[in-house]
Amino acid sequence: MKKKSLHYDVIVGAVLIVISAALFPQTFKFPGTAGIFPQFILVVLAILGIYTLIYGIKETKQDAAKAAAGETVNPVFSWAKDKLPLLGYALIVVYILLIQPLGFFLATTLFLVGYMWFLKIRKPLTLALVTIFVDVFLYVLFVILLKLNLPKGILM
Amino acid sequence: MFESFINSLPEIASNIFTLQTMLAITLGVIGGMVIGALPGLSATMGIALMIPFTYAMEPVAALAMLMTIYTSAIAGGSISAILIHTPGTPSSAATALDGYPLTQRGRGLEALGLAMISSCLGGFISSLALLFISPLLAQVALKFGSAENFFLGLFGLSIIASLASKSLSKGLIAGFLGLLLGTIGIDNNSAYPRFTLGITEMLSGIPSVPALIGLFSIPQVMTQIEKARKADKAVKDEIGEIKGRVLPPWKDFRKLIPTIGISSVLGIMVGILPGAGGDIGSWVGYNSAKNRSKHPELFGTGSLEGICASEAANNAVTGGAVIPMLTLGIPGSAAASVLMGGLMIHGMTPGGALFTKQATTTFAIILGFMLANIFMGVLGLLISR
Repeated sequence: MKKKSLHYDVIVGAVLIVISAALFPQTFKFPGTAGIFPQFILVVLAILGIYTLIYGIKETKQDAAKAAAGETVNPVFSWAKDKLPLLGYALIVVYILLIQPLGFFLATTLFLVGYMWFLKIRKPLTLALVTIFVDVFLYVLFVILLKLNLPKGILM
Repeated sequence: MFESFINSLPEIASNIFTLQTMLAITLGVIGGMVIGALPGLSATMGIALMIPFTYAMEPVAALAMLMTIYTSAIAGGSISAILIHTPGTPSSAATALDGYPLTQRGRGLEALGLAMISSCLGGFISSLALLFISPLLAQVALKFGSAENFFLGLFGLSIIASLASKSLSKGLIAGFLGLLLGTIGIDNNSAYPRFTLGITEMLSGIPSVPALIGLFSIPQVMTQIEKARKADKAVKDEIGEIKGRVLPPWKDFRKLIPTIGISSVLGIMVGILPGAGGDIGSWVGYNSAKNRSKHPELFGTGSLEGICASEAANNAVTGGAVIPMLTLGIPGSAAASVLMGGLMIHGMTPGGALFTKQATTTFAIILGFMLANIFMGVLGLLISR
């Protein structure tokens, strides 16, 4: 039985290499000396990424050997274990992207209800009270007291 | 510099004893205790979340409140550590070792009272250190030129080596990613906007408060989501009956004073060192008390000395951590780095100027912090009752 399990370091290393490779060509468009420091940082990051990737592959092999010997191995990326934090992060990103088109309060309301639903808080009364309280509190503080211009979106 | 401090005392006092500042400190103590007592909400997160609410306040009130939240969140962490064996903040992990066995034996209130007194004393001693050490350090910082500032930056970055104990490569990755994010915005030499994606707000770089909330709060949310599943299955521990007196008799307490004193000094030193926060401070205090104790075998089974040592040390860290933050711009702990963000929002830049041009504000904040520690002790004892 061979299950695909990657060590976290493989993923970290790969992501770093992709980031460096994507940004490096851009730095050559920078005029004058503006590109030198970012180039230096990106090269170092790429080297560290390669190191981490190689190290991670080695670890993956060792862990596979250990798992074969019946030992438990922990630092392996698995969708079942890591999907909740990643989804939680993705929801925050979606919320931020929605603020401009939908407007701050509509997006916040959707986000609060959605996030509580996601965290398995599903009593209608709790959902309604928490959402209304947060919305009213934010409105009083930021719009009435601090007179901030929050994105209004489609409510206008 | 001390003369100017004495001379401007009336002005400093008029800065502190305003209704707004007093209210801010009181609110900070209560809010901080609650944040600290809730497991999962750390002092750092509490400060980061409260920064937006301080926009409308006077600088003295705002920063006094943020520093109050810092110190009282760490004291509040001991409440849940002692009563339910779950440290509210990582700084109280050592307290739980001795506090919870006492709760099981029905002496929880005594442990709580002692933790509050130790926290209050530790915090107070560290605020004295803050008051007397930072002006001296600031005088040195005043003489800094570009070369010294460069080395200060280099020193700050070299802390990565001490923080990345498990994996140096990961520490370096985090450090260089930080530098990369730092290049976002207009380049000082050529005025070319780097990596801004055409967003106007990014021209001046990533602002510190969103960065801090993103770096400290969102990972916390992700960790909590992971734990949320496990918590459903956790079995609740039996809580011993809570009774007994809050204040220890003077005869017993007298023996604990040296422990509190030494732990406070150790805590301040750990606090000044960049990178090490309250969690490390409390263990340093705890271990040194254990080594000096006549009854080291009692540690971990409900030793009053252990509680004193860890609580005095972790609150002493707060004042210590703020010293290099105010004078050199190098925060001594994660929470202090968030505090630095709050400081800059109110137009105060860390460094010598805080102790010359803005001295009345700075000293008012420090004295406010001192008062906060006393408030915290009193309020903590009242809550314990």
